[in-house]
Amino acid sequence: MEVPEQANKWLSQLSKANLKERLNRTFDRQVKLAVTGLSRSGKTVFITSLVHQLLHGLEGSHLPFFHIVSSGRLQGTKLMHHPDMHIPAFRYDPSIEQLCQESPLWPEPTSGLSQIRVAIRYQTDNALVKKVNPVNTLFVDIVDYPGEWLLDLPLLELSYEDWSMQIADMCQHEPRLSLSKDWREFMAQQDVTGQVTDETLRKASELYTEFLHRCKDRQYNMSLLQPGRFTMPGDLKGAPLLEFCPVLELPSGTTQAAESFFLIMKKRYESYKEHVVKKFYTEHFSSFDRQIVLVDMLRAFNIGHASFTDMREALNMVLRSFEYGKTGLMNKLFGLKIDRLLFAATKADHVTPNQLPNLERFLQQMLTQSYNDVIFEGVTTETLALSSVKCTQAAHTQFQGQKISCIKGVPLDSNQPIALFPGEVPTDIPLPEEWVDGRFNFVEFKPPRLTNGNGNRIPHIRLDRALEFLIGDKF
Amino acid sequence: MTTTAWATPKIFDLDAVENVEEEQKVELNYTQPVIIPADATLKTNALLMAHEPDTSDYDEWDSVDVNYAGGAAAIAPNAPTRQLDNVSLWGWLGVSLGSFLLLALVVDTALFLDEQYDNSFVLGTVFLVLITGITATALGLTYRSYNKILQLKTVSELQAEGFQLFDSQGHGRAMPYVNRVASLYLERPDMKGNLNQFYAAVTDAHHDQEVYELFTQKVMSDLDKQAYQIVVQRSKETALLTMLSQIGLLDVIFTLWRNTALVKDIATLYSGRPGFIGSFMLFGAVIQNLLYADVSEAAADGMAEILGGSVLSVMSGQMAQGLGSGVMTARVGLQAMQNCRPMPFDEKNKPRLRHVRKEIVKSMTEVFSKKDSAGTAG
Ligand SMILES: Nc1nc2c(ncn2[C@@H]2O[C@H](COP(=O)(O)OP(=O)(O)O)[C@@H](O)[C@H]2O)c(=O)[nH]1
Ligand SMILES: [Mg+2]
Repeated sequence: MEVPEQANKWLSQLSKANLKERLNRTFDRQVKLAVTGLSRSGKTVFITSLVHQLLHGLEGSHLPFFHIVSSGRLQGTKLMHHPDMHIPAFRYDPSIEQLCQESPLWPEPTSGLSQIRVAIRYQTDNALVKKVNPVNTLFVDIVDYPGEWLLDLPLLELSYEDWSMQIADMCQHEPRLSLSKDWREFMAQQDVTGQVTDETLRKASELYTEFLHRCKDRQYNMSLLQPGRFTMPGDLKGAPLLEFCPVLELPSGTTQAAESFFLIMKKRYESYKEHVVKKFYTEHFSSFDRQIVLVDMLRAFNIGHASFTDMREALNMVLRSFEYGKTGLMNKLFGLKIDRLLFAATKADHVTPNQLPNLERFLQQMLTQSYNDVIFEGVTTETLALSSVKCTQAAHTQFQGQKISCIKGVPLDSNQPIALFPGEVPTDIPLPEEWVDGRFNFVEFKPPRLTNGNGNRIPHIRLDRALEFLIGDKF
Repeated sequence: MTTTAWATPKIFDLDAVENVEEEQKVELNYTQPVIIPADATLKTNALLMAHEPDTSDYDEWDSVDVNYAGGAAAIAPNAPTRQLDNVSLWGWLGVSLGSFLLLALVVDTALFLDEQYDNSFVLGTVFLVLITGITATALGLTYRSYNKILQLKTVSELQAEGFQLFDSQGHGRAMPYVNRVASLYLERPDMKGNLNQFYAAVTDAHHDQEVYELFTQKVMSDLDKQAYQIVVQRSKETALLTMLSQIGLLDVIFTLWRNTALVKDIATLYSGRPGFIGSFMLFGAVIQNLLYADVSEAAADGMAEILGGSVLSVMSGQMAQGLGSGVMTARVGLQAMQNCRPMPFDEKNKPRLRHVRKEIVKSMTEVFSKKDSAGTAG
């Protein structure tokens, strides 16, 4: 008979494809986990702690919500040499040494992209694979890169003229207005249509870069700083590719010298887009499988409304790199592999534990703008509050006749522990007039001394959940 | 009427109304950050100290006042026990139902014995002695199990609190709760390892739900596995016993005895007995099981008669009865698990009847096929 035969054939094909897919999935050998965030958001500390937790995965109960560990299927973990020799290695050893020494220090900050590979050997629980290959290995490639670089994506859609106007617009408001004074004054003296010397070009871009650095300063903590490489040059430090800046006013007339300030800058802007921005996306970004974006909201809270809104805008700009819909720019340009995206509020040990849910909700609120605009078709996203290195201990006390929760830790600039109630994390985004001085006081802490009681393990908050979300499905 | 008088629309003078919410006014509703004075008494959870960052080493923080000094021994107060004293009405219903059942059974058994006496006096006497002996022993054992159950504490309060925690998005409520649950198991050497694991893994930063999940993962899930094994084992036993026995009274007595033993085992395992509502539901399930044992025996007989009393039809009738009885017992067992477990199950890890049923069917077909092959061989 014909019909059953056909059906049979179809069925066997189906199950073959099915089998193959299942085999592929369970023999999964490699996952590229990208870690990003604006500078000082805690990437280096996060990766250092994460690798340390993984390497000590067999020694106990510090990762209860990372299933492969808590289920006892983990066989061992090992640091591997990375095969991509042209990418700098993440400096794990010096970092962990600093964190674990007698009087622990935070690891040196790094700029630029680096990579580290951890091999995880585990027992599979897939009945099929078990027969063939009971112990499997998953290679986790962890990539660290500055979140600032993701702020460059929108440039790809912007002409030099449009971009210049955006920057000029932003410089109308404080704190950029006063911080950009030097650069703006210099630009005001220039005739952008006339012949220009190399000296002038260099001076203009220097002043612009200085302005960006000043914006980034701790006391202003601005985040939306374009081009991203100006503050985080990575391997391009001092390269001529980074010698340009926007103009404050577009030339009105059509008569323009062939080698005018405007035209040269425009050309350099275009080659920055071509050779820096696109290169990063095609060479690195498009190969990532999983992404975690670290956000340090507490600093923005400390500083105030301007810093906060700037960070929110920057974050939402970062999100655009993960747009996945058919119309998504990323997808159109480079294709996107990332299928899991975790937004993590770092340094969660700065707040009292009862506020962790607030911190998470707040981060979600901050992102809703783009969650709504952007279609994350095919990308699973989650938000989490975590701490890579838990420096504080929860406590409570009686204060002015009321029970108050607080945290206890040693501030960065002292040797005496303090107990602190750092302020309440709001669940809704406060209105501008609600950002009064002294509403928040999030203090930076020293890393804790690791004692034998800890089994020399780094205490953390919810790294196990992050791991489970990011790579838990690969086992 | 006055009601219509104020229900009609009315326009008020603008000056005479007060805004419920004043516009433009921002209420700054937050608590100021404070640095606690160094001489304040800080309380931390010492049970968790082991994995806390060591903040005291930098300085002598000598005033730390510890909540749970010395670890396990001082864990939170126990849940107060509650007596089953307001059972009376429902009890009456149960008692009367039970006596009805009993009467029917006694009559049934009397008829059976009468039949045997008709055949031969010796046979009848042997049966009488056997039935009386078995009944007495089984009832004695049942009573003993029941007494054991009564000695345990009820878990209904813990369960009620646990249900509330399911929805909790917060922090800080789960730990005291879990400590109280843990106090049920402190004396038990078999749970020591589990409890230690839990306290090693939990930190002060875990949400209520995480604490709950962690306790389930490290402590309860082992108990659940054991309880599940007990249920499967007991259900299989009941299934076989009812399959083999031919007398209604014995079926019922066996079932009662096995069920009580099952509930006792599970209650002992979880170190808690059901509260009032739980007991009632359990009681209901047991009664249903007893009724079933009684009625199904008759049904199995009837079936055999209809099918002409061949060996096969008797066998399959008995088997169906045994299976039914096993499943009913499993239901009692799962019901007992739900009602004795101090932390309520969430949907994810709730034990399922259909899994037990599968296992019973498997073990019964094993027995049956053995019998079958023995039958064909002989
Ligand atoms: N208390 C606390 N501080 C942290 C944590 N992670 C990072 N930090 C602080 O943030 C600083 C910057 O972290 P780092 O990893 O160098 O940031 P990066 O620039 O993103 O690599 C560190 O020096 C620490 O002071 C954390 O988990 N807890
Ligand atoms: Mg870094």
